[in-house]
Amino acid sequence: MTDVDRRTFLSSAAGTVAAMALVPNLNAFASYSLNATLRVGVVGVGRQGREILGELTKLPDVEVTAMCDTDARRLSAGLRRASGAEGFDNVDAMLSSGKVDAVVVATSTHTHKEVALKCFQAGVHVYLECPLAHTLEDCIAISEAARSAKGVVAAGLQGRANPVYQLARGFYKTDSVRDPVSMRAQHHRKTNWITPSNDAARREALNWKLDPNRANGLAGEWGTQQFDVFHWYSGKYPVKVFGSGSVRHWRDDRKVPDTIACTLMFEDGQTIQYDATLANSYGGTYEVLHGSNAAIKLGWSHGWMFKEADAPTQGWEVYANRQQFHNDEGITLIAGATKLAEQGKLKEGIGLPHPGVYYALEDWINAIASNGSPACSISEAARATAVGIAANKAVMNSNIVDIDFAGL
Amino acid sequence: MHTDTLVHRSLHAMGCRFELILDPTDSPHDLYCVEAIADELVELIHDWHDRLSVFTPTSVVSRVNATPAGVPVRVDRDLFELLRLCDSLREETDGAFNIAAGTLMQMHGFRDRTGLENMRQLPDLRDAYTLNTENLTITRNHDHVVIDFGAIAKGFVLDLIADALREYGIRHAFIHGGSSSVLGFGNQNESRPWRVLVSDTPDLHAKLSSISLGISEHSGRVNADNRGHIMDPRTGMPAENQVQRVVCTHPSAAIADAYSTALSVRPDLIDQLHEHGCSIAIISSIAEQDHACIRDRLGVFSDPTPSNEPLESIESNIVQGPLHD
Repeated sequence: MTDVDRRTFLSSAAGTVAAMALVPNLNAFASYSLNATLRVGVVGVGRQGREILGELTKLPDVEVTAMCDTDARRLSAGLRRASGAEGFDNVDAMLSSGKVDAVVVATSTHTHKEVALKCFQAGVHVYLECPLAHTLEDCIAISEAARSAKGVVAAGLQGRANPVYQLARGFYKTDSVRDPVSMRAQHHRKTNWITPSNDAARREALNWKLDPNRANGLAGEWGTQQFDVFHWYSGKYPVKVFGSGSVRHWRDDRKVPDTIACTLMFEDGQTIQYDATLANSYGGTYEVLHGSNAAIKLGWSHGWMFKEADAPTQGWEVYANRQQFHNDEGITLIAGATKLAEQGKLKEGIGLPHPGVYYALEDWINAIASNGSPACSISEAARATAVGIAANKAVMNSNIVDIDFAGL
Repeated sequence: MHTDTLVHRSLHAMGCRFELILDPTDSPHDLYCVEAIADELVELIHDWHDRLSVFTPTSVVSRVNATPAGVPVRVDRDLFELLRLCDSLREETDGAFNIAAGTLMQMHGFRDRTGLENMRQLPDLRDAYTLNTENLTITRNHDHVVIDFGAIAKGFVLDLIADALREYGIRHAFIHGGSSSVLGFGNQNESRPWRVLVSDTPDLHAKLSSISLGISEHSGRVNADNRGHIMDPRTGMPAENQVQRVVCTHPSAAIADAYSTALSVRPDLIDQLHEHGCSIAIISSIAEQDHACIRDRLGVFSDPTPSNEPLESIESNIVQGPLHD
């Protein structure tokens, strides 16, 4: 330990130091160096698109120069969030304006293919939100087109770029967790998924998530992100999925269940248990991986490890910051903790300072700057999307569905 | 209004508890859609908390405060409009309201005191920052200047909420942040306004009908020296006067918030600000007795306990009607 490290050790929380010693291959704070300001356009500036606008403004050497939305009100709201950007009502005009080097696609899922293919064709760098598409056919089309794209193409499966998830994956791959036992995840949030509007036609257009023909319900929209965490950690994909769902609370004649449960099955008998609801918020959104030595719980900005009583001590736990969860004590997993502490950026002492999408965007720009590969490729996202599509099909039919990766 | 159909939300943001009550009555939406509108408003509050909080290291304000003096920071149009509003309010209040008062919060021990040791280092807060309307930038003119929207942020968000309610055709709603920034949108019931107890000694109510209310209180937080958290940007010290509480109503919640802070610092501005379309009540403690000094251009106050000696002998023109219409 150098003097500088020792001073940090003495002045920081114990857990911070433990995490500092346990940051193998952490890529979260890689600094990039762009030759010139990267001019970024955002297609789709609804709720998600506006959050992306906010995160892009935090990134160095990045300027939002254009944005596009077919909805005039959303475009107007988006333009208020990015001073100096030009607004467009169609993606062709934006791409031919010569104002963008890179494009973030944050439109509704069923329009991804049309927009993404135009962006690939234009030769710009592309960040494509996930799920990739609402049908396997669109998924395959995007995958194939991405192979010949000139720019860096990243898919928005955010777990792969998340510093806490990267750190925890290192533990999962070592003896800290040991034999993988099972996996479980939930997404609980009390909200009805309605996008309000006074105009009937506009309301119909904006509420695509409640249309089974344009979206894949909770399993597709949220499950895809969470299933991919397990794919990435375990290095394998499930082959079958059983699902069920119903409307438990929002009885507004919707055709999409507000509460679902799925069991995703791997070849070797391991399972992922997944449940999601829009009727209750308890517990929020997280994933848990159980091993014979420990369990890891991941909550997007936070992560914890729960050790078994018979698990060997590895030494660093002595310094670790801990949190009590009823009868269990979790060791907090803090990615890049020392650096964050020095910058005063540790949220509540243990969480990431930025939302997950920030790290995914930063990773994409890092890949552009280094001409490297992003944390999540289109092919990985296509397989995760296929799992989400199959899970939704199982939920809608209350049966078991084989997961189809053909063409991906 | 049917209380069983009201849509409620509560959340913690901007250092306080926000509560929202939306009445779907007479709106063009069904109950489910009003629920979604309420969720959108909650997100709006969280979003602006994340952007304006000086305690969030990744907020826009923290970025402004972390950027070296002399270096312009480009901000979005929404935030720039807030900055311009703050600038005009600073001028209107003769410097009694100033977002650079965050500098003093730091100096007087309400924040991390890093880098600011004594009054000699205090920059001139009348010239604390520069706005460039062409490039939408703010530049701090001194490294010790701390921009802090704490005295206006809640009101600003309530104004945005009022805009959203109007856009969605919601006619009646009641929303407050920490009970010190209040929006009475429409009425509580048909023509009966929302009523708020703004002072119990003396007993004073405000009737809010599509109007906002800001309260600034001296008896709130104190530092280690037991001095109040309301700063006088002109002197660089915590405001020292006999004002206990200022209640200000105005069509704009942001302006009500800013005026109430300014009047806490300079109660003598009451006539000047009253001319700007607001009602004002200043509760002072003189010789261990509470006094209400009221200017009620909008006719919102009711049922006061008559004060023996109003502050600076200002005559009260309060509406002396019954509480229940």
